[in-house]
Amino acid sequence: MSSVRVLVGTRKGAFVLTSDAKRKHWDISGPHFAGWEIYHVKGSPVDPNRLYASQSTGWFGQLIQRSNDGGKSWEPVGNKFAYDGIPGTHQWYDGTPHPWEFKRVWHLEPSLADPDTVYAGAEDAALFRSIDGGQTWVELSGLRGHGSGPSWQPGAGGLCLHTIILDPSHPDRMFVAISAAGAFRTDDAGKTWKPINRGLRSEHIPDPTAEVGHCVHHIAMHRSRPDVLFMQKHWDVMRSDNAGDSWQEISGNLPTDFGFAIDVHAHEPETIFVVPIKSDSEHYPPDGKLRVHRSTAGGNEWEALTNGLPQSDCYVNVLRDAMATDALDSCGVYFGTTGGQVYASADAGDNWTPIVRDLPAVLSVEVQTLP
Amino acid sequence: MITVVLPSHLRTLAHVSGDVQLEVEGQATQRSILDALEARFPMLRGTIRDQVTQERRPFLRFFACEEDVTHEPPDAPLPDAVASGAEPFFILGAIAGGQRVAAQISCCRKHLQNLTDCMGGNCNFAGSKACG
Repeated sequence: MSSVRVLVGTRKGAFVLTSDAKRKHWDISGPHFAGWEIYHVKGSPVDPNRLYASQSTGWFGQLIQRSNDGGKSWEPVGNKFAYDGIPGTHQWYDGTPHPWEFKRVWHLEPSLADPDTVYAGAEDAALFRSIDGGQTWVELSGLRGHGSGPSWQPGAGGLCLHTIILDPSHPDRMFVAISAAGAFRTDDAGKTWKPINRGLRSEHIPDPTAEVGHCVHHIAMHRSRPDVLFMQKHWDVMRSDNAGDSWQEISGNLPTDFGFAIDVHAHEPETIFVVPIKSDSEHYPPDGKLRVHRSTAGGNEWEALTNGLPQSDCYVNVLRDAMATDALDSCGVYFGTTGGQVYASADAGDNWTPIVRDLPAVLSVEVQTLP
Repeated sequence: MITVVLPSHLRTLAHVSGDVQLEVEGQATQRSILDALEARFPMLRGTIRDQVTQERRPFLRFFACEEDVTHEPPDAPLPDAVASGAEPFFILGAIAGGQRVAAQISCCRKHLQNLTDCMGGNCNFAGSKACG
């Protein structure tokens, strides 16, 4: 019988939540790495028991943890993230040059084909790859070196590479997103990159339609249609039908088009989910009502999903990597909040239940559907 | 043998429950102690000093014989009492400023309390103003 494993990264440790396919009763293990910030935990698609976790604190820096038994036990692996060559500078918040400095890993993306290959998205923005199960890391420096790197500026959360999407149909194609530089694509396994931000409009930068400089918050793809991308930008929800070559806004009737998380239904590639957040200065849901919005039309037409979610006095945030879906017949949707709740819906968002209510602030949620 | 006191998180990471005893080759310096520490506990690499620059991580401090040696050169000799193992080499997460940390070290030494336990709220010397 199938089961589900939810991997939760929080400000003070990692948690592993498991359930059978009914998704009614959950076992919770953790905290793993208690007291450390866990920005992300993700499992290998080809070996679900192989997990990678990004563990860090300001005091002790970055660690990468690896599990070979689905999160029951862990071992630290390599944590040397050295920029290739002389790192140079990017722009600081005030526009002055600032040296590239490694701070942490925001996102780990295991390969679609090899459990020992995994990508790491770092702050200050760079993409690293390990082909030995995380023991050693090499920067794919063509990204920072493609030309616009010195002009990149940090978003409010830092200059972070937070999104890595591997194209299942084109093994050499990969998408990344950086706050606040924008989205980029490689078609040659990371050797060369190009910005893919045409159609984005950001009123808070000097040139609203600049090639780079957009604060992309997250991108999602359905693996059956890898040329279709959905983006939650700082403001605006966007869609591309040509692998990022151009984007169109699909915010439609959303109450606000600011937000962080976005994801796609496991079986319906035109059904997408976002969690509208009031604004960039007020990081909580509008009117104190926590609502997931779902579009079954690939955007523009959205419905609010509220059953089981707090509809008064709710002032939590849902961060960019804190939403995921399972692949069971009735698609499950999951998200975590900065208030420490992890909500689950076993019916594609129609009804919600908190799996757990009082974790530390949730930074990331990933889901594994197990046979 | 040199005694090293690790912060709680690093003790957990290294799977040790108390102070660490190390054989250090040559003169006892910050660098030689950290080299020996990382050789014995590879999982600590990068947590105390940057793996690329070898610089101390900015929120960590080093103390020896109730003195702050954080800003001493990494190859400067540490006091004989550290080299002989009579006094430990403390690695601390900076918390609330040097005076308080120094006072806590003094208090802990006086009352034979492990500093990391003390700073974790487990000091059993209830009358201490320094630790209060």
